[in-house]
Amino acid sequence: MQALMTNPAIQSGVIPFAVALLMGLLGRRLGWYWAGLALLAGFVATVYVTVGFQFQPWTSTRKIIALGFGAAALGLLLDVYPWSRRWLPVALLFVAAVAALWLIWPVLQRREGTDAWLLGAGSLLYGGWCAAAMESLRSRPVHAVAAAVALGFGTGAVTLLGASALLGQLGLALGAAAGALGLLVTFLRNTEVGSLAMLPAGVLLGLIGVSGHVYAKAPWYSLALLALVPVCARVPLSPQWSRWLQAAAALLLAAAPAGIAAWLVWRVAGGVPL
Amino acid sequence: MRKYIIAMVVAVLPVSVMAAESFTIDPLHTFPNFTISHLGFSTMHGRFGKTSGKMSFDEAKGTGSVEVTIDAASVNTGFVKRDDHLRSPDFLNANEFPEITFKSTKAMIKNDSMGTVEGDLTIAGVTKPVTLKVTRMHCGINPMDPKKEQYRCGFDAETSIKRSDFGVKFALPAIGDEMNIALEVEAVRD
Repeated sequence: MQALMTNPAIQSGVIPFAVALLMGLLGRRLGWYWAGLALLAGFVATVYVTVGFQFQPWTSTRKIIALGFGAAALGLLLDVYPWSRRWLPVALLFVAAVAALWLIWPVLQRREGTDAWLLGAGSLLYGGWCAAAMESLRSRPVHAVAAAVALGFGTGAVTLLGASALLGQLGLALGAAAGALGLLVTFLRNTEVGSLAMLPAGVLLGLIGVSGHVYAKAPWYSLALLALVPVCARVPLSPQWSRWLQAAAALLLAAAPAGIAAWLVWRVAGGVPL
Repeated sequence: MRKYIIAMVVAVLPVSVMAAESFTIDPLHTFPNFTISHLGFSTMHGRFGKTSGKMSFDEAKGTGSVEVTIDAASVNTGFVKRDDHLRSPDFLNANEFPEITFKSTKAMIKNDSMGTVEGDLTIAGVTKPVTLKVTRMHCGINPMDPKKEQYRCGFDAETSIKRSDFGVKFALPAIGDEMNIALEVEAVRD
């Protein structure tokens, strides 16, 4: 049992998928957007069996986990109250950019000149973009879960190959949990996603990507490709198609830039050091 | 009387200055290193290439202090990809916590050049007390110095820690929790 629980494939694949599936099935019975909680539940399960919930001293990984919880709370508020959504993408982009700034501050304060500006602007833009772009898919469940699966596995692969297995595991866990939610969305029609799922997914995956670049060796161009995932997932699909065909097509479109990003990193960095 | 006091102060001053001499660590002869179990199959060795610091030593009393700062990113195990992984947040988190430090709180060297150094070791932002066991210490003129003036002290010390105590828990228990750390230091008198 101990060997199973310490196996990275179990920790970041089987456990988040199973927990998310169970939580999704239970959540959708409550109605409304509660199924979205499945994604966070799967992620939390992986955190529990890998790094745990110790938050002192603040490290980049612990900041990411804490910010994920904050994003889930904000997502819930966005789902519960009928806010005006006119300025929401801009507001989310700004808030997530501030979160990214907090994440990279220990490194940013040691950099100078153009190097600091490029690192800061790129990281803030990527973190903010992922949060805003992913959240904007909240009302399109098929497209949303396709984006979450592709960005999760893409971020996981890029950071894993970029020399941080831990960040890779967290990204892959979100991809696996989104996969479970995707099954529910595809085969159980009344399953919704909402901001409760998509905001933490965007914030977490954006920050994991930023952290993979700043604290490990994930190259910047891999993040530029991953930023295209929510864009590709938005491509309109024929309503005449069956639900599973729509899901497969959306996933294929969203996975294209993620796959290219992972392939490029693999070509440069090689395999995972075992 | 006044002259007598001044004479006493002048006479005592060199003794007190000489009592604990200060040294600067020689980075070319100081390479902290470690060993750790790799999946239970073998023992992996690694070392750090950049170290700096200061120490003081009172040879008569066998007491002193030492402060060592290690560049976490200078870790070297002979395999670049593994070194990148060790620098990542999985292990040393070198970009976020660029320095590993040891600051002594109490040092005692016995006549047989062996002793202990107690102090605080900081890895990845977590500080824990450790005790280094000094297995060898030697001070003297550097025989390679053409002027035969450079005075240096060196010591070999070792300790064992659990990396999980410092929050470095990745891949436990497959990759060993217990790390043996060896600190071989040479320092030149200021």
